[in-house]
Amino acid sequence: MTLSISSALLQLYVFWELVGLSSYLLIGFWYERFSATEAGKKAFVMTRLGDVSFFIGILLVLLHLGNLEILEVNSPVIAARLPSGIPTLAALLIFGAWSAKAHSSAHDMAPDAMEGPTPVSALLHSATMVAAGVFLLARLFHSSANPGRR
Amino acid sequence: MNLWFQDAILIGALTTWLPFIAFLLILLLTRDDHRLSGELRLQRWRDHSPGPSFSWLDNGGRASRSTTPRVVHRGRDLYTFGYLLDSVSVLMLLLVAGISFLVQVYSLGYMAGIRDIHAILRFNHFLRGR
Repeated sequence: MTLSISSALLQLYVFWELVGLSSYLLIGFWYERFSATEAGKKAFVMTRLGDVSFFIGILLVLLHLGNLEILEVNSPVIAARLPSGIPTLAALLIFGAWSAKAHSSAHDMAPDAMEGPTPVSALLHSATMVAAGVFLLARLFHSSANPGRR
Repeated sequence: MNLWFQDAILIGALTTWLPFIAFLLILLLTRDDHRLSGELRLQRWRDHSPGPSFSWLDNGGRASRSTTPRVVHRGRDLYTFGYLLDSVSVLMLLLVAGISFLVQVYSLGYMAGIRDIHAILRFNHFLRGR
């Protein structure tokens, strides 16, 4: 809930990390099983990769705009201050969303992620994380699609 | 770096953390009766469902927002805490809240015999809050 109503990128990032933490803890819930611990580690590494790129993207936004407010970052006037040669920003943010299994090729970890208890696993991996990835893309669409456009 | 806490911090803190405080209280007070605990948490969730959020959206579908504490650096806003409600937020809220409600109802029966059902439901609540 808090992720979806975050008003700033840093706030969104904090709760994004908490979703990742929940995922890791959930997958390794039955830690007596070797497969569960291995799947937990795999999910941890993959989500951290995306989180690092997301964080670098946030730092780039902060560096160029001096502000992390989502409304202002998405504003065409403010977003126009982003250098036009900054496709890396979009790439970093999209890679961050990718880590949440919003894109194909990241689905490799999905079967392993089902090592967790069935109901919460269903909620986490079928609704929350995938939806969060798409939500992130939708939320930052204007700023990542048209950097530097005037 | 200076911090200014505006009055709206109370609203932000309550809307964000009150549900979790309620969860914690229910967990603590009903820890010996898992079924009662689950039912109470379901009831609490229903009372705080995101339906009223629709009233925060204006007719134009534009975002409704409230800033709370601000972090100001060299005279300009660097970061503000708060909430942002627009059509994307509400869609996400409804999606996750709806599916989590169904999963919660389903898991109460499906996993009734599992030893760690209490801990699993805690994960569920924590995740839904995030």
